[in-house]
Amino acid sequence: MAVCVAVIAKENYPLYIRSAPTENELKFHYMVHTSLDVVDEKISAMGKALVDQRELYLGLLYPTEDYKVYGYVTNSKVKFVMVVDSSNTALRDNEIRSMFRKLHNSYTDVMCNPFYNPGDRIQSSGSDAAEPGFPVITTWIPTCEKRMGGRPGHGPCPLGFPRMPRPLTAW
Amino acid sequence: MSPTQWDFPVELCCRPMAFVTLTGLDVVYNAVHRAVWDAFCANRRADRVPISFKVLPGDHEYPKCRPKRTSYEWYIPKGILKTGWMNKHLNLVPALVVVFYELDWDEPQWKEKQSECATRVEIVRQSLQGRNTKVAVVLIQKKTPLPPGEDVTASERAAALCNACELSGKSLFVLPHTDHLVGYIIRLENAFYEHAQTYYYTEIRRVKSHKEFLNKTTHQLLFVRHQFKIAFFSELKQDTQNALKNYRTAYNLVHELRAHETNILEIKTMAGFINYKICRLCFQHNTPLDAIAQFRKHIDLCKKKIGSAELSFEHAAWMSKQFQAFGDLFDEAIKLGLTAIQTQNPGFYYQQAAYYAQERKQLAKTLCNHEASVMYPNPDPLETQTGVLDFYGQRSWRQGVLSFDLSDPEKEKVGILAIQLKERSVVHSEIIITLLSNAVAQFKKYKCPRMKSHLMVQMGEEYYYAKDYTKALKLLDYVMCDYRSEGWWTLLTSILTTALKCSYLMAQLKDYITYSLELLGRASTLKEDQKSRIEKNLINVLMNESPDPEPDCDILAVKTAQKLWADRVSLAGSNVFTIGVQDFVPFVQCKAKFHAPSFHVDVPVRFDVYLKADCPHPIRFSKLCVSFNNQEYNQFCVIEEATKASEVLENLTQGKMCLVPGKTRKFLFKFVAKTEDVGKKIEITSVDLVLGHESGRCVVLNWQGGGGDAASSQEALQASRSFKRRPKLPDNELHWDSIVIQASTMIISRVPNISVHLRHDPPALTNEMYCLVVTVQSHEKTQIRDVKLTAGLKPGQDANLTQKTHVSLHGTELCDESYPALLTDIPIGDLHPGEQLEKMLYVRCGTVGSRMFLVYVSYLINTTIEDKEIVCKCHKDETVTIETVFPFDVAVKFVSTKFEHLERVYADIPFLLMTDLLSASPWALTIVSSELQLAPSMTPVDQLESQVDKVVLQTGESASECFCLRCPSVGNVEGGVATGHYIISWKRTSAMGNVPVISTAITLPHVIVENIPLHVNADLPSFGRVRESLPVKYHLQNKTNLVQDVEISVEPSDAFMFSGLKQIRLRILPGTEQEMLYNFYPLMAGYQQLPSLHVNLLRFPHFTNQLLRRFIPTSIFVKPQGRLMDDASIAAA
Repeated sequence: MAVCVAVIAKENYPLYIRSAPTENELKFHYMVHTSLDVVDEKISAMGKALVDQRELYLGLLYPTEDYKVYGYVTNSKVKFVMVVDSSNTALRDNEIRSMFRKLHNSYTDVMCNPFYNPGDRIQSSGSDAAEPGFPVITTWIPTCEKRMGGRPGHGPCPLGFPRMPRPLTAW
Repeated sequence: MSPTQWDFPVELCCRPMAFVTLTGLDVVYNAVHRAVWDAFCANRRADRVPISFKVLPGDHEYPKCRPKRTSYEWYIPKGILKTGWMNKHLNLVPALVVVFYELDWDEPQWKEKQSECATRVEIVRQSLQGRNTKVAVVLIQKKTPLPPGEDVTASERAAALCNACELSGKSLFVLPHTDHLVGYIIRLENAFYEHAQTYYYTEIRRVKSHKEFLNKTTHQLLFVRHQFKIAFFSELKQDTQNALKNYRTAYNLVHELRAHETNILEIKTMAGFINYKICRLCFQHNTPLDAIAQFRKHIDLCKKKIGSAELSFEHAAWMSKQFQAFGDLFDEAIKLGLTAIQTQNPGFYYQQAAYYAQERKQLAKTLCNHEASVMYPNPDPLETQTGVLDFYGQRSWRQGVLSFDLSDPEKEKVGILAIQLKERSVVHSEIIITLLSNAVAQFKKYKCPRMKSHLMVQMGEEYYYAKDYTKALKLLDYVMCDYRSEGWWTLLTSILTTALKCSYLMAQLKDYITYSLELLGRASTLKEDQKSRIEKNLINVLMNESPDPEPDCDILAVKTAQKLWADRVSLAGSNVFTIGVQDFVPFVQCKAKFHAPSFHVDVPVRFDVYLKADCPHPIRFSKLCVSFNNQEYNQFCVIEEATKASEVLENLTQGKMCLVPGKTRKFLFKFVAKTEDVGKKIEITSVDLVLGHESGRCVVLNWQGGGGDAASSQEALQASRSFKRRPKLPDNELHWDSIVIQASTMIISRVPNISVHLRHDPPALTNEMYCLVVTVQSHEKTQIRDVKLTAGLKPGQDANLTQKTHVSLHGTELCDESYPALLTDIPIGDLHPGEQLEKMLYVRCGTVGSRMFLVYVSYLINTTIEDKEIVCKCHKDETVTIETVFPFDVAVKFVSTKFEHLERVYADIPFLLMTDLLSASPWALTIVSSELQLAPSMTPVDQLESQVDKVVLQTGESASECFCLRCPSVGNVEGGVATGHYIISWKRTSAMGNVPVISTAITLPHVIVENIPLHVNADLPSFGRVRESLPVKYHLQNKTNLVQDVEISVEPSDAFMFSGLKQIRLRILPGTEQEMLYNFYPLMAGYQQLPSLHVNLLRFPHFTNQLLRRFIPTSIFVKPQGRLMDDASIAAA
């Protein structure tokens, strides 16, 4: 399992970021943020390769003593970053790839949500305390919370729908 | 920094070079020796052999060699590597001792000198007893030696000397002190180098030979030691490949050692040393990946070997050092040409070193927090007799003890305590900051701006811990904008929180306020209670009071800070802080919006300023003012709190001057624009919101333009993308996102209330004075003044039009080139309400085509807006497109006197010029007169008076004239002969009498003139009568200079009888004329064919009867026989 998953907007601000050990959230935020250096570099090195030939998976971005940071970039330049514990040898490249693919699917589901405004921060309904269901982001109708300001608010839906406790893919 | 316990010893880090000592050189007093020594040490570049030289006296005592062990059976080593060993072989025990001695081959006192030399060698040998060190002798000679074999004495004496000194021939050298000293020296040192290599080779063999005596149970340490020594000697021998191989073996052996808490430090120390050597050699061999792999392996093996928990900070320090050293090696390799990449550069190692240094600090903080009463143990357990340890990585209080059991736990405790107390004096922050700044420098180089920012944050935080708040703030402030611009609010909040602490502890008012503003803002991810606390502090500060200390601050620092804040309070002045918000995200948002993109000058300009606070509690402000590009309006756009004096009123305004969190407040402003600003843009340059009072402290939040801060552009973008329906809000409330900033507006002139009409009869005719009647009528309620008319060709059209269009107010005279195309500001005077005024304009268009004409009427009027009288300038313009056409078309043709069309005319023979003037004008034209101006070559046959005077032509009608002309012979002129001009004077029939007549001159076409040899013209009456004689006279004129033979015949016609010469041949002299007389007698009435005359010119066969027929009539009208008589008789009867 990944210890931290992040979705970064094209403009490099975080759309979604969640780490498993919640006590040291800041460290992971920094880690994800600094990994964007490598992502940027890789994207610019990729150049204008044909869209369908482009590899979305960027591979290992950089290793630290305790963690490995992997990257993935969608065609719309939305970046996924995943931090994995270095000691976790069970996760090979293939597993990481498939996790990214799942994450990409979840992200696509979010984008398909007609109530989601592209570019807004993504709220996950996965309860913080429970098993962090990485790398799945299940998103409900976004609440009318402040656009900025980090903590996801689970306010009532502006349209008066009840919060839907099921992923949008089920629609 | 002075070397610490964790720094690698110098002898480990240097590049080992063969050690050679030079004796017998007096470098102080002997110039020759000095020169020799200088040649040895100067310019030791890479191309010279790697030897480290040292000058020692001949009787120098070298370290004593311990007696050789015959058996290892009972030997138990006390440690892995002695601390002095590397230094001994680098700097103390030479591979070769060179004895310099001044001796020439022809030395007279040879024997004495030879034995002295032998003695010197002997002394050196004595001192090197037991070592394999080589000895060599160099004879410094004054003379240049002869080539080998030629100098018999030399070879004899050399052999004798070798014998006396017990030297092999290879160890005796001659150094002639001549011009080529450096060359000789280089040859010498190459020879020395060979000797040194032999020495180190034997040393390696010697160490290897011990191996077989060792056993794995008791001599484990020796395996490592010997392997290390072999590798080290290989390095001295410059055999780096073997050195690397042996170091690798040594590294593996170290990890095979039985590790225990008591010896873990020694193992780690040695492992670190060997690892360092391996990595260094890998980089040297240009195999950086091997180096990295080795280092990773090393770290993975040692990471968990923490050792004593009470001294775990030592492990962190050691780890930190490992990373730092590797970073240094990596960096050094890069400097020597290695290329690093973004994801693999020394920065990562420095960064990791810094992390371990931080960990060391944390561990030290928890492990070394002894009471102040705990005294440093006496005697010092860390002291040793010699001041240094015997073996690397051992504890000073139990050196050489190999047992894993602690024989003296008390001693152990004291030792640990001493180390812990020593650790307290280490300035960790300094170490951490140095490492971080090393890393920053690297990441900067390898395009990692975010990593660099992150490290700078850490540096800032470390400075904060080190209580260097100024530096901390400087660093944090520097990187804040990076996180802000990328919208990483969690990170920004964390940095701001630290920055706020720093500014609090330094009582930096402006910084404190700025950070508070942002931490309360929407970009902050702080919890409500935190925000609430910060807001309270901010309000306190604004009220000139001290804020509460920030949480988790150092107690002592807080005490100092409180004093500073107290001082700040008492200080007067400099209490207004202007903070530009465009670079951060403050808790008050502002948007200014003009109601319209343009305002008429007679309408007050209105705009709203919207404010919204994001802080948890309502906040009051004391003033809101707006600045414009024209500063005169600033005074009208201020909302200020009522002065303290009127307390009662204050309550009224209180609601107005208060921002409620989350609510959008709207403030309406209006002002009257200046008339000078008509046509200009009014821009809001800034909006200032004042929090606090000028009497206490106040903060001026300054928005550039119409509001917006560092985050608002992105928000506006998101809001524009959003299709979310916004929940309905009560009246007068707006959704913040739906407000769009409109920071500028145009001032446009007042709407005119006059009518401008144009009356004219299009199209215009070329060159005429075309009349345009402008009617201006005022519909204003008051008198309008200074009415001015600008009329003429609308600017911006084709430049040729400007030159061919002229405008005049006077229609009675034709305007010429000097008249302008546009008449500007023609004063008309004042107009009373409802009054109407007409103005006539005359336009002369020189070319056909359409033109746009502009009629622009401006006037002044006094109006009152908002109880303010202003003079408004209004204007109304009309444009009209007028087509210009030719008034008529003129066609000209040449015909013969018989009205037959002529291609060409014949010299001296009259012809007719016919003009045909076809009116193209839709309006009736009056031809005032016409005139034919003939070219000099043409002569009129009769009077040239106009035949069309005062003729009026309606559309499509035409007027023709006919002139009889003659052209004398002119010879052959190319293109024909000019005819002249036809000038028509005309005007519109409808035009008034005083309108000038326009003359249009038409250039007549050229005509080709041709000579003919013979001209025939006939004299005959206009009609004949049946049975009445009709006399016809033909004149034949010879137009040539020749005598012409002419054959003439007349062909009879049925209608006539005739008398005269029917056929004749005659001659006509040049220039003369022959008359032929005929009497025709018509027989029939009607239009009858005359008997045709045939002329045949013998000299001009081309002269045909067709040509002739142009000149002479072929038919005549014959009246019937006269009944006139009968009529007369009838009348008579």
